[in-house]
Amino acid sequence: MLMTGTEYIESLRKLNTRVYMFGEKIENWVDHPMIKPSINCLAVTYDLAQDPEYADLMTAKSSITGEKINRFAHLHQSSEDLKKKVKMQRLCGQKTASCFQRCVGMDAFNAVFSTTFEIDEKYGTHYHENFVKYLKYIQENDLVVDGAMTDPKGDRALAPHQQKDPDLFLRIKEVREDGIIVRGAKCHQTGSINSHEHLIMPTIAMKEEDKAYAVSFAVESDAEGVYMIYGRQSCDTRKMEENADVDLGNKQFGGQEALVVFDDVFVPNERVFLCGEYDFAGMMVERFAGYHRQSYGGCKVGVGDVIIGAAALAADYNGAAKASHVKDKIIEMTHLNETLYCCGIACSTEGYATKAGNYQIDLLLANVCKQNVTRYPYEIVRLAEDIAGGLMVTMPSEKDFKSDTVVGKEGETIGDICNKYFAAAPTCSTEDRMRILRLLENICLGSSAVGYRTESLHGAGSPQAQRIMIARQGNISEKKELAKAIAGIK
Amino acid sequence: MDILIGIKFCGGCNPRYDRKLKKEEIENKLFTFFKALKTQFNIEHAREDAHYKYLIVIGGCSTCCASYDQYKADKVIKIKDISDMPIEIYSFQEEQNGVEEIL
Ligand SMILES: Cc1cc2nc3c(=O)[nH]c(=O)nc-3n(C[C@H](O)[C@H](O)[C@H](O)COP(=O)(O)OP(=O)(O)OC[C@H]3O[C@@H](n4cnc5c(N)ncnc54)[C@H](O)[C@@H]3O)c2cc1C
Repeated sequence: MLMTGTEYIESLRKLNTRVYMFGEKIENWVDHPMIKPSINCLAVTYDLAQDPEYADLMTAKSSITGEKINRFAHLHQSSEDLKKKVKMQRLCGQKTASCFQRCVGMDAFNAVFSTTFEIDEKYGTHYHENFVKYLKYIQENDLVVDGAMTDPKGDRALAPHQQKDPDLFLRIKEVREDGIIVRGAKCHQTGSINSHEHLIMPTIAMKEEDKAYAVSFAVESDAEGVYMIYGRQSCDTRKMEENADVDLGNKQFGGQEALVVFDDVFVPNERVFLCGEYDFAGMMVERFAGYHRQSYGGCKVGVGDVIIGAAALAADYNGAAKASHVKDKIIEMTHLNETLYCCGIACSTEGYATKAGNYQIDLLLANVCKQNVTRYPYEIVRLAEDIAGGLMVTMPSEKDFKSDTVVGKEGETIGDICNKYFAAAPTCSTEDRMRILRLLENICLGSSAVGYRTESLHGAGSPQAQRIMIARQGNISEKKELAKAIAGIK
Repeated sequence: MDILIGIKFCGGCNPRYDRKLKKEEIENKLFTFFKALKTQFNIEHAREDAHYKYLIVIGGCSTCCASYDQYKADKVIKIKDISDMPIEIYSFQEEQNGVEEIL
């Protein structure tokens, strides 16, 4: 059953998720002005799936039930599926100009599916069967699941078991006959509050001493002992201003992250997918990170499409569109953006079947993809800010533009003065110019910069994590042989 | 029996033209065409439980990556560009003993 966006929002109201913000419990978080834009983003992933114009990317046939499902809950069955995933993410980025939050869950599904198969093969456990049942439930009910990997990690120089506070990596506190008790937290959780469920994975590869930290499981977002503390974003309280519109840049959509705390949470056995098999923690992490590094070759490209469009409009409105350097900057932005897309498509095209049957991306190319994502969006926003001009950060508020307060000697209002001095090309209204500059502000350094900039840098692993993978996958010994052969070295 | 025509869109990740407008243009042209032939036709978003005389796949770019193997159709026609039209359907007039240049 595919939900509509409205049904999704209504389904959130039935949850008793504990959400805290500004030191207080938020009772009606679904309608909270700072949270609502991120919920709207997820609603888009439902509405697009219902629309024949987008359904080819947004839906897939379940490999478990044969039914039509949202692609965000799909196990990729081919390279074609992997490519469609990237295209779907580009589409969602275009429609929201924000982080739409549903990919972490999808990437976690695919990583946990294939890893549990191989754990069971080695240890005779039943994690894969547990997971397939779980995913079937998710697919049939069209739910959003937060893919939770990142632990607080405490002192980065120490392994989980060496930390002074044992809770700095999420851990198994107790193993019971019917399940496990877990304790700890997950940081930076994208879309966690808007998710029906959380799927937890370990954050790093582990050794035997860290056995208690090698754990993967699923819980409802409102499970007993789970709560969330909302993450602040730059300019976030603008959303709380009365009748806020132009100043938001993107009134409708936005991203969301939170700290998710697990305060001695009981997880029944059927929802456990890894419990102490530390030698598989690395595989789960690597597979999830691989998929997630591919993802950024889609979602950030879609947002990039909006930035390029906004920069081109800003140039039109400023009257600078014909300048050759401006045209060249738009070309450069397009080149950078499409390079990221090339990487997303390339690692998908080179995908391969895992033992469990779902498709995995090419790891080297996915890491190259994400490494580029840690850089190019920064250059894209630099160029956008160059084209936009300084007004995107110095412009008075919408209230000023609409103000009737008389300030001029000839009775001019603040609104008149703003509209007089911020008018530009005759083809556009001052309000339209404000709108496009505020949109750029929102993505380049406002609340959506969380998703477009810092998430591009650290999400799915900081740059160094990709360089380690590139070093491992780089096939340097073969390259040496190639050079020796050409140079005539025996 | 009515001629049944299915329409399938690609997912629209980076369309080079407005696919929805293209669909409307195609529908209008086909309406004129079949009216002249005095033939009834139905056009709808493709369903897996139908059998189409023609399945028109509207792709936003030259890749036209929409999947359509799941549909039953006598003929699949791909639209990949703003200037493309499902001209294969016009041969229908020959099957119907020739109507002069209608389109
Ligand atoms: C906007 C956003 C959304 C995110 N969404 C999610 C999500 O949905 N789910 C999820 O699980 N995670 C999510 N993440 C987390 C993301 O994966 C982490 O931010 C990333 O792995 C880096 O971890 P960190 O932020 O703790 O930084 P750190 O690990 O502290 O890294 C900071 C710097 O220190 C370096 N460093 C750290 N440890 C070492 C070491 N031992 N040796 C050498 N150098 C080291 C790093 O390379 C980096 O340069 C998100 C992050 C952001 C910013």
